[in-house]
Amino acid sequence: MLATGAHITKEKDLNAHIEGFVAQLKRRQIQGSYNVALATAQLLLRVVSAARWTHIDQLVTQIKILGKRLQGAQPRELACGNIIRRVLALIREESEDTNGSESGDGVANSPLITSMFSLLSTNDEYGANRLSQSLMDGTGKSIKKDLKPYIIEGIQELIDELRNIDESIASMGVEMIHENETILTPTPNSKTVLKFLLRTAQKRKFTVLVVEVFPNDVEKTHEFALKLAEAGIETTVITDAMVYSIMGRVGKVVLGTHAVLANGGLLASAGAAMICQCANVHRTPVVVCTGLYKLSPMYPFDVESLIEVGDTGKVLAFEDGSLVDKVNVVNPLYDYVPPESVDLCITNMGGYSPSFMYRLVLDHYRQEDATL
Amino acid sequence: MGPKKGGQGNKAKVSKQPSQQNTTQDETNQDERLQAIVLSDSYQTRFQPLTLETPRCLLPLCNTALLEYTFEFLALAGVSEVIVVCCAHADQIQEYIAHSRWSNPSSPFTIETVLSPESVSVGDAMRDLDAKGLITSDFLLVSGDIVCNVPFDKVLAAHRERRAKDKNAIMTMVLREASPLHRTRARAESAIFVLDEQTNQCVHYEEIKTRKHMQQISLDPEIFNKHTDLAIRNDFIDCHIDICSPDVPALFTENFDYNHIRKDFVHGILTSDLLGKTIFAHIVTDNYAARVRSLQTYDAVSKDVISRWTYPITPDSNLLADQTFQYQRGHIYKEEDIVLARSCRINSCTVIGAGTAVDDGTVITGSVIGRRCKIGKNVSITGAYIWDDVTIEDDAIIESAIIANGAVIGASSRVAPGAIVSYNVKIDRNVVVDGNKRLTRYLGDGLKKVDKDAVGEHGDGYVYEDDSEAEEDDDYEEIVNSSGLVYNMASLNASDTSFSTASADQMHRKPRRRRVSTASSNTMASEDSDEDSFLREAQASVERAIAENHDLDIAALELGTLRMAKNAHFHDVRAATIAALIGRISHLVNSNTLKARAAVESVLNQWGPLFRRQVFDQADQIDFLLLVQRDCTRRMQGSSILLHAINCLYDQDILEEDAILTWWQDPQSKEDADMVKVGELVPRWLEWLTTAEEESDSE
Repeated sequence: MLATGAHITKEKDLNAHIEGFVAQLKRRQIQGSYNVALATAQLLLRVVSAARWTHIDQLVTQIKILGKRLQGAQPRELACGNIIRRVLALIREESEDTNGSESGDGVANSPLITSMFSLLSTNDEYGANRLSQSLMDGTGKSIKKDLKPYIIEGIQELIDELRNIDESIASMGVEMIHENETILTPTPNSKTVLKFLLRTAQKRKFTVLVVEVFPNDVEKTHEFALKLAEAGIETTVITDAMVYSIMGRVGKVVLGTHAVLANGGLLASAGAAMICQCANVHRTPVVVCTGLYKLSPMYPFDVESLIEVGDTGKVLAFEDGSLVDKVNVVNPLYDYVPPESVDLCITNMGGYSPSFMYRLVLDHYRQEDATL
Repeated sequence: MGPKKGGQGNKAKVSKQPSQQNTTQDETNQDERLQAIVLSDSYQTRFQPLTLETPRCLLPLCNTALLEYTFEFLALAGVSEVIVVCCAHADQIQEYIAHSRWSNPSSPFTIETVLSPESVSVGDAMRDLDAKGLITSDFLLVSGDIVCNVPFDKVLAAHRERRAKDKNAIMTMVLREASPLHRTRARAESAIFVLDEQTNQCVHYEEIKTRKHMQQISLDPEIFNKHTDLAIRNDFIDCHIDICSPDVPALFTENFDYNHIRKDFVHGILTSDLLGKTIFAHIVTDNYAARVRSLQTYDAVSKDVISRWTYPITPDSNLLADQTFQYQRGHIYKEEDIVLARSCRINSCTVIGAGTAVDDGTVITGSVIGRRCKIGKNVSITGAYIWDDVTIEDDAIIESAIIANGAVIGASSRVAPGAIVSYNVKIDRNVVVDGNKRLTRYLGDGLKKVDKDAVGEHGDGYVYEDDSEAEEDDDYEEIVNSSGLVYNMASLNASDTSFSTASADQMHRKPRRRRVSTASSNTMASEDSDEDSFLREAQASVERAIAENHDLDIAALELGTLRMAKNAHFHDVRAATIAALIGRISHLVNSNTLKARAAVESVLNQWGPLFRRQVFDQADQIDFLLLVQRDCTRRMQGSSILLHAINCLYDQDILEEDAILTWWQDPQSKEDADMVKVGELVPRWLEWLTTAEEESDSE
């Protein structure tokens, strides 16, 4: 009796925790890909450790339902869905590993069939196949006992990866930035770019031009520039309008990003698309620094639905009553940068061309999880 | 069994330790805990007839109850305990809260409802709270109809810092800057704040009464000694978000006549020298803060929410769990399960709720449409607020109106800007609903009433007229005119012209005003002659009124102002008025224009009513009679003037018989020869008076 009571209160606690998290996402109290990803991973850790299942598919559906809820709360924070999908892939992999070792045909189940042969088969069939197969195996109970610690360990690793992601990206900076090069960055709110530049500055001497990104990130720009300057990097803050005139002198554009889509396109802070276009005109290379957790298996079929529209008050002062009544102001927080504008994506797994992103997606996510 | 027990014992031990830690943490955090009081009632009737059936805080704003926005703000502000004070429709509010997500364990704060059914003002509610002793620390006082996204940590930190320094800083008001004619400012409800520029201490608060065309405010000269830089500002949205110390409810209890938090409380505290409490303002320049206090602000705040000034509190954050809004370019928000005909047009700034169907050829612009609405063919909806389950038949036209739940608008009908169609009203075909009409079906006691003129042959509902409020509030008409959903251009023009007449009036009055001000500066210089100067000033004022044939009210107002400015006693006012009036009478008599009796009657019939505002009880009347008597001693034919004056004022009911008799027996009325002489005619009149009395008695 006592044990079940404790279990119920635990479940209640967890539910309350999830609801709190959903509310925080809605209120934008947790913002930014990294924070969202980390919080999601930690939440999943709790969910998995509290979860009880007799078959692995139950856990998968449980997490899928949770994922749907979190996505619904803030559909534009793609990192949340990415982490859920990563964990789902992890769970499937673990279950297949044990399945594979027991029944010996795990290889045939691999979802990474990229030949034309599988083009006409749908995802559901995959799921159904696997379900029936694992049911036929009748290994439900033995799997359950073994899997939990592995999954938890896997999530722990994921969290560690998240925490160290900037380090591995930053270490590649020396190969990217030359001595006395001028770097332009239009994404001052990116922690990854900051670490990338700071780390490189230990070995190289270069100049950084920071674009102001009015109106949403002006304060962050100045903080960012201050940190760079303190590290001894020659830093200049320029207004958004100056980008085109100065682009001729820029050696590289280094971009942080909010999310990377499966086609290699990105969502970066508003104005980035224009700057990338401008860089393309000047044949200036555009380099993107991103952790893999930002890589989303989604395609930008409807770009608008991916772009968050922010606080109008930052564009137009609310106290100006005569204007407020007469104009409609839109303040998009992100821009969609098409893959053609980007030359290289530096991830914690190494540098890749944007056109290769689909492959990374296939490596890290399962197709059957593409829609939660 | 044994090992199990042991295990439980261990568990208990383990669980005990963290709980102890928790308690110690709680103790340290005690200061950080923030209570919030939400006044769910507005103590106004501006949203009637809608509020006859639903409390104001549960009215939907962009398809979400107003209270939800308030709670969301409190959650953002990091409040840990919310007390909702319910008055009207308390049952509905309690039920709403009980079923909302705020009662769940995941809610960021604990929520409690307190019933205060007798309260009719903010003051009553505060006194009730004080009596119940629910308030333990500094708290946030808000009403249940605010929309705000101000990050509160800074405001709170500033308040706590001030409190730590000075225990008398009892209150911080959160004010949002906005130009005077901003749409989100409630018309007819603005105020002047006098703030210390350096500390933002509020040193004076003055409500602006638009109808009276206030042209001046008076400030205590003391203020200028205490503060070097003062800002006098009228560019705030004051949405009544206050951080109060526990002293505030206590002060409400002490001053039982305080009702309004601003007009009475803030003004009272600031003008009182005794309390020594200070009030500060926190001026917000970046974020959004507004309150839905009238239909006009309902309209404006809805627009602000739709155009994302309130981000992240926008429809597409889906505050309620079952909402599924998605944002589209041009500030269009659509929920799932909407049926839109191919040829219908949804223009910018529109919100459409789930389950709504829009038929062919319909155009919707800048409107909010609720859930499960049926909108027919070729309907035009512009700037309207349509709530849930409304049916709008073909070819109807709706402009800037509120259509409440379950209403039906017949085919080809037209709802003009500013109209309100309350719950379940049915409007027949081809009916035009005027802009100033408020239709309802609600009748408290199950009666049925139908205005066929307003709703058509097969309609249901009647025109709601609000008569209870009219006498209660001076500025009611003003507020109704300006707080309607549509602040139409006509009334704007009207107020423009009245502005210009006001300024013309001002020009006309200017020389006189200047005289007053020089006089007052004189008094500053030589305070001992204050009383004399008042007498002279007041007498001159009445004389001028007579000579220039002013309105009685204006003369009275001028005297009143003068009295307050000089802090004079009513005795002096009477003396001055009497001197002026008797002077006038004796002038008429002396110049032989009129006989004594006629002169007295002509002057006193016109100007006698002045005394109504100066003479109140019997003591006053006696004092008044003595003054008249004394004044008449100086005049030619004084005795007859006195007699006729008494007679005349007795007829006007300003003087009572008892008072006259007491005056006559008063030794002061015969203290010297002059007084006795001037009163020589009075006994005969008194005799007549008493016999007349006896006669009427015997009859």
